[in-house]
Amino acid sequence: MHFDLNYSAILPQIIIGVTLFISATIDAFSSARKWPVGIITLFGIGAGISSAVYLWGSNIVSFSQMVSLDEFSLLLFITVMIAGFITVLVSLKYVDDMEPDGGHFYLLLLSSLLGMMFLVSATNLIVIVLGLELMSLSIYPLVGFTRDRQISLEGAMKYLILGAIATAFLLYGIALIYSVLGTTNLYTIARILSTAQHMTGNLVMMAGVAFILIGFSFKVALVPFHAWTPDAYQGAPAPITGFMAAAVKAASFGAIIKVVIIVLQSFHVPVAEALWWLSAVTMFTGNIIAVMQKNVKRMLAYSSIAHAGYVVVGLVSGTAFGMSSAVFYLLSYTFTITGSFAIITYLEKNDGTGSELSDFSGLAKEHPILSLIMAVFMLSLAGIPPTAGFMAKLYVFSAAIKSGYIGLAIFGILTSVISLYYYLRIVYAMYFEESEGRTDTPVPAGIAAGVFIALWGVIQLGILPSDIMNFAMQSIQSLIH
Amino acid sequence: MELNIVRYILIFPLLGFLVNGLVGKRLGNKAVGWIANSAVFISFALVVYIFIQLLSMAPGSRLITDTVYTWINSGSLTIDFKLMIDPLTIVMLLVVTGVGFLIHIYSIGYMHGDRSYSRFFAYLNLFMFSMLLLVLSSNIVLMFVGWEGVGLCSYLLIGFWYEKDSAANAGKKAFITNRVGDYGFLLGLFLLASAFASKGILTLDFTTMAAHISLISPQILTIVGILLFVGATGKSAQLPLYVWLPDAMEGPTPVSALIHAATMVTAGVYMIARMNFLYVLAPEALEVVAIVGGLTALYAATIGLVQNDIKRVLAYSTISQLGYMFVGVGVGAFSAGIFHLMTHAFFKALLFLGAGSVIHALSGEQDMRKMGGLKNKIPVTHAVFLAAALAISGIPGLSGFFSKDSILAAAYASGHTVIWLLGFITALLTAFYIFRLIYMTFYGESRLDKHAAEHVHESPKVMTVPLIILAVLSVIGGYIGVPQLLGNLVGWHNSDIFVNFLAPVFRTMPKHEMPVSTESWLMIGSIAMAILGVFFAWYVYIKSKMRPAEHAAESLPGVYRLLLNKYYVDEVYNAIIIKPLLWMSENFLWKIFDVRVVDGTVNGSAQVTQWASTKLRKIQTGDFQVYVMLFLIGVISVLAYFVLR
Amino acid sequence: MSYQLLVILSFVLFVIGMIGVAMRRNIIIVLISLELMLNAVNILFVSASKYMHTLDGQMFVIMVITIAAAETAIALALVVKVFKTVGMVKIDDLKKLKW
Repeated sequence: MHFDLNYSAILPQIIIGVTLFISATIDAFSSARKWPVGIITLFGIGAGISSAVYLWGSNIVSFSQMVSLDEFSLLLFITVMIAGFITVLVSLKYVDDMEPDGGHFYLLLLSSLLGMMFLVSATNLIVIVLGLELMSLSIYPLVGFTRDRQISLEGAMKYLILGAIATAFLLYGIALIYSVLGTTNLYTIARILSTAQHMTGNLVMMAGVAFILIGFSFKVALVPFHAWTPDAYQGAPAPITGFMAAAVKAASFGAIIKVVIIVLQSFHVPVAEALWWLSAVTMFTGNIIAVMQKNVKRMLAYSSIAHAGYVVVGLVSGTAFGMSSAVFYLLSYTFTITGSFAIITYLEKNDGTGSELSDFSGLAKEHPILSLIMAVFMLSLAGIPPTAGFMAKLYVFSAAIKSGYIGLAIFGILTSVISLYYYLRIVYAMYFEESEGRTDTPVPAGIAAGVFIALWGVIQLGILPSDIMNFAMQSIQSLIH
Repeated sequence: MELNIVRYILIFPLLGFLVNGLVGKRLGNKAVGWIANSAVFISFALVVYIFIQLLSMAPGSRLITDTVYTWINSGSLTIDFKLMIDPLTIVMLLVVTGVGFLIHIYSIGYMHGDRSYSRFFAYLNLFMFSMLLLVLSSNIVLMFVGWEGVGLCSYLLIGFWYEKDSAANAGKKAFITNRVGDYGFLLGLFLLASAFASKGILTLDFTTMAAHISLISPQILTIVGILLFVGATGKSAQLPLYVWLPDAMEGPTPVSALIHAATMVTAGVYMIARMNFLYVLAPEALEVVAIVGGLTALYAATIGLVQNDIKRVLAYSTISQLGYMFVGVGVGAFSAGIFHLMTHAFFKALLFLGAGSVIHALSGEQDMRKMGGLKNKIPVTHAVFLAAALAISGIPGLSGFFSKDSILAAAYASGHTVIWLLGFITALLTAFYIFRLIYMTFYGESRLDKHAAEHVHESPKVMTVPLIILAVLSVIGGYIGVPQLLGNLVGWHNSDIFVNFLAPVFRTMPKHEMPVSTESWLMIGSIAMAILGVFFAWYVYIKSKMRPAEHAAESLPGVYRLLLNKYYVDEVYNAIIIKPLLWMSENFLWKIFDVRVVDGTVNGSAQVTQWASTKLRKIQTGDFQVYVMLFLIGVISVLAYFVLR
Repeated sequence: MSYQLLVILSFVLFVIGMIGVAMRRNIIIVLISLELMLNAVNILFVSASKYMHTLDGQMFVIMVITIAAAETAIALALVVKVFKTVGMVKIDDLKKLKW
């Protein structure tokens, strides 16, 4: 084993890491108000996105085949970094309002980004676990960021312990596969599996695949591994909820696509069947429970569970088009959900209230533009044209239909009809209900900027989907080789 | 040639719509007017620039495209968001943006003081966007998007004063009637798409379709042609779907001028001209187009004879003139049809705007029986109105003469004698009803209300200047298409510039030559008809002070009432279609199907969903150990699935 | 000890840990049970590494230990915060978020 250290293979990670270092230093020496740290973070993430765009098209495997930089990882880098960028923009004022001396917010966010990036670019199960844990361990404290909110702590605590169980399962699955194949390198695993016969008859191997699937299913919150989601999402500060729904989900799905769908391709039949059921149950449960929610954060938590189900619809087919549509879905969901939570951040008060459905009543009168944009986000989540959400659903369902999963597609469409009910309740509240006296504060510039970036993404992907879909196709192609 | 500025023709009106629609209320009326007008003006300037570019290219290769992006790529069908400009497009573009711009200016004055000023201009810009999209699109699917867009804008603008019941109803009527037509259009589109797909052509681009049209059997082409024409009868108000257009006059007058005279209603003619490669191979379909056009021309003109509402006369006149255009394209003289489309846009927009000016002067009065003697009180309006009336009547030397004559000549030459006769008679009626309008409005003694008489005033400059420009165009617009017969008289070779300019776009039908003498006699005949019509109108309404008209109405009460009530078509539609439909929907669809089945299902499913939601959310007890249990259930099921399968 | 026995041992440990997490209410005990699960993983890795004659597994063990330490550290920090606000370290006292 020779040591090839091609640092350009982890250039975006280096940029985020260096930003983390600089931000930490500035945080240590700055006063109680921490927005300068946030600005540095913004610049760092911006540089990270630029580097990812700049590196587009390169294909480097380095560090003893531990990480690879290909179009797949780059597209997911861009996705999670956009989520991070919008989240930081939105939080600039929020953090200073919530916590004096809360600079670690940005540091944890950066380190979770770093974890996600290693998670999606890893080509070794060890690095995948490390990335996953770096991501999760940074997210847990962020969920409990506001230290005086009991619900925050409760959400964080539940999330942490359940997350640790899921990690244990994932590790156990990896250990099982290792005990059969003797390696954790994804390329080697793929090579062995492509030549070996009757692997699907090997019970240990099958249990290993099942455990890995369980571990990842937890991270993307598929029913019945979803139980942490509503609590953690409701408890977490609003910007972090958006970040979790967008970035954590995108990165974990990236790992699923890479490990479960592509590397473990010889297990496609049982995996697809299991995913079929998981997806159907997830779409159903998420959407149904969301219907009766009164708290918008919790409603969107259930909705995000349902959306994970839709992404899985794209994965079930196992085709390149299906996976590309899943990647497209993740990107579109990232824009929509971070934008929605940016608006919720604006409404959320210091004590954690302000995200009830009744808090949206009459919002259209005071903030017509903000309400209009929120309505657009809701329509995108519901999958109404001409938004990103519509194109995303169109792609995943057509992928499923093309591969013969017509029943699943119809079921998905039916559940998305149900989802319309609760998304429109928010729109209804904003436009047709009377407000109950809101203290009217101006919309902070950061939130406005974040909302507009997200809106731009939603409209762009809704009207000009072809280009982005081509990028998604390329990213999947880069992975298949 | 690929030219990326083409898309900006579309973008500016869209921006105008967005700005005026979103924040127009806050900007104030002045800014709204400026934004809307400059958006259209920039488009117009771009069109002129591209026109010059196009002229500098070789006549056979005048084609500019702009691929914005691949719109739909579903594997089996590729549709680009691609714009295309060829001579046919540029003519339409010049008309739409040019006349559109003038009408925008006029609207500043006309809509002055309206409560929903910004909404009006937002809609108007949205209309411009949709119309330009319709004209610019390089494939039939994108064209349909524009087609629907203009329909939507038409609906919004007819019902602009939605507080008035009649306006709201007229909007609905227009929308529903157009839906009937669109249904035909869509069927035609699907049929065409599947016919091409079966031959392995997976795009609906006009150029691609034109290149491969001969692959498809003539029977299918005939059916497609007729179905598409059904769409055109809806949009362009032909028999039997014309009923919405007279009611559409409920909208503001600039809207009537822009949408319901100059641009949108001509979309059907444009579509057939654009699909000429198809229609040339489907002569039966073309025959239908010509017959319907000829009948509509005569039919609408007869109704126009007795209407008393100044805008309704013009509405029926529009239907009648559209009939002429369909005769033109229907006999294969595509250029003649488009030529008439252009001149008609000039003089009919002028007539409507002039009527608007009259209405404006009389504080909203539209009944011609309460007008008269306005000639000296509003001289500018009178002068331009007269110019337009002479143009539409077909008085030699003005634009309408050249275009109408070339259509009639083409109809006669191709052997459609009956259709020619229909058009020939219509020429007489046209001259009569339009001069009836002139005489009743501007001449004779004043029959104004006392109240209205005190306030009569000429319109402001912002309204009269567009009128004058349009008047000039109505007078001279015809000289770009002088028939060769007349050109020869003054030794002007290739005098028919317009036909030559458009020639590369159209597939030619077999040429019918006719002797010079016949053509001369036809021309003299139509001139005589026009003069005769003007004379009759003068005799009836000026010389005899309307007595003959009253006399005729008394002696032929049946005919008069039939015409006054527009052949009772609305009543017939009401009795045979709307009433039974309403009855059906009330007694069956509503009381049984809707209340019992649909409402039951909808409410039921909503209740079931809510019930399920209430029950299912109880799983999430908040108790950590239940969560772990859920997790373990998941683990066991997945594991069991994998290991035991 | 044979490889088979080691695998069985790790599996048993894993299940015991799992049961501990599911049944115990004291957060500290839950965390200890989690450690048990992770160490079951470690045993599997080490034994498989010995059996397969590759070192990847042992490398993995070091990583897992690191992860476990980090996880426990963050968990304990949270437990302290929970204790300060709620006054308990029983997991079933955290029931504010539900439905």
